[in-house]
Amino acid sequence: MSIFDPKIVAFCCEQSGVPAAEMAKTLKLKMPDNLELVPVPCSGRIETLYLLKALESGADGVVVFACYEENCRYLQGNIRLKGRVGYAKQIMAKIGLESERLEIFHVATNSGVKFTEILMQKVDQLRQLGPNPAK
Amino acid sequence: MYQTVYGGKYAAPAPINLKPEVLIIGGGVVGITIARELAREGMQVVIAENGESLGGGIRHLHFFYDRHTDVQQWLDDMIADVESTGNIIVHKGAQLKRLDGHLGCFQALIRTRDGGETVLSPSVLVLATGCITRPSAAMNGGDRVIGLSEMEKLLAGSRDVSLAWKGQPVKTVTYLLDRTNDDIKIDTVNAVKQSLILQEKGCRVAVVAGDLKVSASGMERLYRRAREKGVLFFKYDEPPVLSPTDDRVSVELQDMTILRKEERDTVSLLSDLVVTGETFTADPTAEELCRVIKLRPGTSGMLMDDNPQFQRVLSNRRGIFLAGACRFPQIVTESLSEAHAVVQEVKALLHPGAYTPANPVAEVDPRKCAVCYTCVRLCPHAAIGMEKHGERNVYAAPAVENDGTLWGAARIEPVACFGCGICAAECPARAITLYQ
Repeated sequence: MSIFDPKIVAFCCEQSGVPAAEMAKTLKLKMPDNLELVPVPCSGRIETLYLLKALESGADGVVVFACYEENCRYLQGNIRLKGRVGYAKQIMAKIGLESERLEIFHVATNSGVKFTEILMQKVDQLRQLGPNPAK
Repeated sequence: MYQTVYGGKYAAPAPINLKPEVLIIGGGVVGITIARELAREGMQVVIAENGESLGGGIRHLHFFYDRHTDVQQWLDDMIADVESTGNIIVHKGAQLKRLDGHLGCFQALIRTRDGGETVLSPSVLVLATGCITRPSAAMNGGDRVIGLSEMEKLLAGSRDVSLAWKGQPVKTVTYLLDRTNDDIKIDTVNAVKQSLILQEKGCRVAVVAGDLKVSASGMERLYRRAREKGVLFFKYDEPPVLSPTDDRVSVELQDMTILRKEERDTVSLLSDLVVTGETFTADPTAEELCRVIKLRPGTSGMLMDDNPQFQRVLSNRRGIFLAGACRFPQIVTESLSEAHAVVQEVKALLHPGAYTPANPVAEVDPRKCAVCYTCVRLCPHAAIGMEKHGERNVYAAPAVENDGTLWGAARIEPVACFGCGICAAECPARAITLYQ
């Protein structure tokens, strides 16, 4: 039996997550195989529906790479995101999805190593959780 | 004029013309410097100064730490130059009461204290409102404890005579810098600068500080010179105790050169005068100004928080710049370099004569807009307003025919939009699209 390879959708803010991903790529760090990066201009662009749709259409876990709070180029984008992720988690709890399947991580432009570490940890965590029942 | 057909494609926003006109709020040293340099470039500059005369907070300063110029003389020369320059207009006792529009076509209403109102249409706005210096909380030591500004005035008043305080000669001075201004270097700079002047007058000077901040150009050299000239520096962990004696003040502190805490002796410095650091608060008009200009106020009432995504002089609105002590208290050298930075930014922005919105911009479909004001409230760049459109929107009752009623809808100004997409994500009617 093959090992379960969870599908991760990572929304990356163009100010922090995208440069961090590029850095990880340049450093040739180990990334999960089943990963889809979605660049967004600001983490505030991510709608609640985006997060839930991703889970609905096949993702086992959704992560959002946003800037540290107070570092947002648009001042409050990541704070808006926090509210939306909180709302999405409420909905997930109602339909019986584990809250670990959706998480925000704050990264800076130079955190390429942290970027991959977070993703690899997420893969391990999702392996233990098993496939997403909602897909 | 708005030109979007329902379901139509995105048309690149038209460039906007920029007139070389600048409005500067605040006529302190920063405002004056910016005005002079921009006027030299041939721009029309208006300074709106809240007080009755130009100068601002630097009026309390008499000595530079890094050059031998007299501050007030230097300032008066600059003011004379500003007032004789043709393309600088100065409004005194003036406050900004209203600001509409965006980069290139701001509409600013300036009200002077005598009731006169002027409407200006500058392309760019510069805020240089500065901050206010207040003496620290009163310390136990009676009237022999003064603030740094008071000492500065005293030194300026006795340039060629020996120092005297209330008729009595001053021979020993102790500077006591508290920890309230931990990340501000003004106290250190002024204390070291003044102690060198006092040393030349033959006073014995001691500087007692938790930490000295010498991260300004030339400050380490100044500190070393102060040590060489014989100024005593003491560090403390626990705040020193002040106790007034009959004609002096005694500053008692632990001798930090002994490493073991319990073996430390108490050193007491008998001084004729004790000079303490000062606290800084935002200008009282800053809050009102933030509201008028739609800027986000920073912590402790200052303008704009520190944010690594913004250069120090940029604000959250395109075409509005901040310089000087309105963001955080700073020394004159720092303020002047911020002023030069603003001059560069304004020149770079206005020089091409037009601005074309370049980054992805959001656009509202007026047919879908329910006028809920969510985007207007959320936009961090104050780029969204309400407008009347001819097009009928989907919320109209089916019975209502297109009878020429003007329907309201949000409109995003492409010049002011930064393209973050916060509005697009939040719009409940999904009427906003972010075009790449």
